[in-house]
Amino acid sequence: MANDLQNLGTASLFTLDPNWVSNPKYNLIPLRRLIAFAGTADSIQSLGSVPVFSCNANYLLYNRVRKNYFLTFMNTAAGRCNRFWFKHPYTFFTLKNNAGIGALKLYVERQEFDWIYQGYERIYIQMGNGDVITRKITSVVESVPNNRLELSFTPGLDRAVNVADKNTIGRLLLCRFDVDSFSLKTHIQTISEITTRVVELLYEYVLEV
Amino acid sequence: MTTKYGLLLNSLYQADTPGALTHTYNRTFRDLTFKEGVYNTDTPLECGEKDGYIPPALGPRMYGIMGARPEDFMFERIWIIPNEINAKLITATDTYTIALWNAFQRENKVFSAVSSLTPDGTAITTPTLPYNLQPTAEGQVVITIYKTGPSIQQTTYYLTIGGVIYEIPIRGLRVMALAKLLNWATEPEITYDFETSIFQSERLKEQRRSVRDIPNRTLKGEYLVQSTYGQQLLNRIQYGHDKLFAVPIIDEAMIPTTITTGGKSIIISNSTSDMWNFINLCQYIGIYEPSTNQVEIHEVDSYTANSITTTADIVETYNVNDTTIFPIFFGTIQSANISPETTEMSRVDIEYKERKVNI
Repeated sequence: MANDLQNLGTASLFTLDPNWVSNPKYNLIPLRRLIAFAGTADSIQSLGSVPVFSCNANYLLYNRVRKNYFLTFMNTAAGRCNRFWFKHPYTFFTLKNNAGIGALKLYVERQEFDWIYQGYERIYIQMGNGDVITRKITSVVESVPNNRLELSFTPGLDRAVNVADKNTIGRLLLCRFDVDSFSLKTHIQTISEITTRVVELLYEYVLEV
Repeated sequence: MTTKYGLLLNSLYQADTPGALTHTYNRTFRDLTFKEGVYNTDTPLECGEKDGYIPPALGPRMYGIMGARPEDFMFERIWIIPNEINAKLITATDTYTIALWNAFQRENKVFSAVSSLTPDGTAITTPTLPYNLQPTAEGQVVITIYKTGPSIQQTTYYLTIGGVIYEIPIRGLRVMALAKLLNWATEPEITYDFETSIFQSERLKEQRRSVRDIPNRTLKGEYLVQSTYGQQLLNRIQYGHDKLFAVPIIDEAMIPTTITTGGKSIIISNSTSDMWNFINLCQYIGIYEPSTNQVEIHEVDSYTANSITTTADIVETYNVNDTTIFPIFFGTIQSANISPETTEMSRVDIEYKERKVNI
């Protein structure tokens, strides 16, 4: 089949996966203000509902296609300027029940995603054949008896997603590159390697409807 | 001269009566006289020798330019063609011949003097001055632009002819190139630099604007050099500290199968479609033959998947088995660190940074 990319708005999807030889690194940037004076208790003010992700990762551009894809993407992003969707490579959700064709819900293991759910979150499902499915989560319902979360979305799935397939289900982050400089280390003519950093744009999800 | 006159002739006739051009000019300019009156291309020009009558340089018809005859523009002036030289990229010594024509029909003009402004890197050869240009006589000067000289050639020559000073501006960029290719034992690194202006609040709300629409590139690498070539490379780096270099995009090597000397076409065995820089950011290529220490820079006119057409003829002869084509950018040496391995061998770590230049 092919990718089924839905609910991404105008931003494009960065499809490369990191090179796990050097592990990707994720930081959380807390959005808070600490106020402290000598001899007084500290005060904490929240500046945002959730913290912001940033990610350092290495990409091995092991053929011309990947290399040209990266260069084109980098050029379109214009360094730190333009936003795009970034696949957080950590598996955020573990599928609990099979989802058939046309399904409007995914049942996943309970993991308190509902604590941080804001309403703009997107997920991606990386299929075994490399295809990617993206959806915006419209609601999260916790079911304690079933020990699961119910993630709703539209449109329905264009294919079955089964537990046995061991697909990766992760979060899509709306990001920009956090650097204006991209250094490609050239191993041979066709193979290069680059380490780059992205940062989440918390306040721009509302622009991608 | 011919071209300029031809264009002029053509444009005037088109403006006058399109499609009615039937006249031929087969007389010498000296003998050409004209009947005054309203000119109409439907009837032949009345041309002939009329004793004692010389047409005015700018006849009555010049008051209405649309009806002017080409010869009205040609005479009674000095023609200098070409009257400027854009040498573009100066990678080799080249000569340009400037034609002089005294188009005054009855006046001698004396080519009396030559002067110049910032002539370094160039030379001019003139007839022995003062030089008499008889009516309608021709002469020439030759301007040489040397391979060595200032990085930006901005020279003006002034020719004094008949007491009037005529300017010949010369423009060009002197580009150097190192034929030796980088040592891949130390992986070359190509950096693409964008620039973004960001205003960011404490809550990480942002306004962003891209300041540079295409990236600036930097190439870092290492040369491993020895003996005479090492000496030459070090001297070239010293000489080129304030010059532009042609810098190859080292990971976009194109392998030629045919390079025709005197032609403009290069056939390559791998596909240009794989070369991102070549397609998106480069206007120029370099033909590199390291075994003979030879590099030739050319502007790309067009390309297909397996061929490149240059705007100018390829000058040198290449052995395709030893030659590689690279897309190039123009840059300056940002840093050069020399680490001798022995007294005869050295590693040279070099960094080129792209400079955007108007050519």
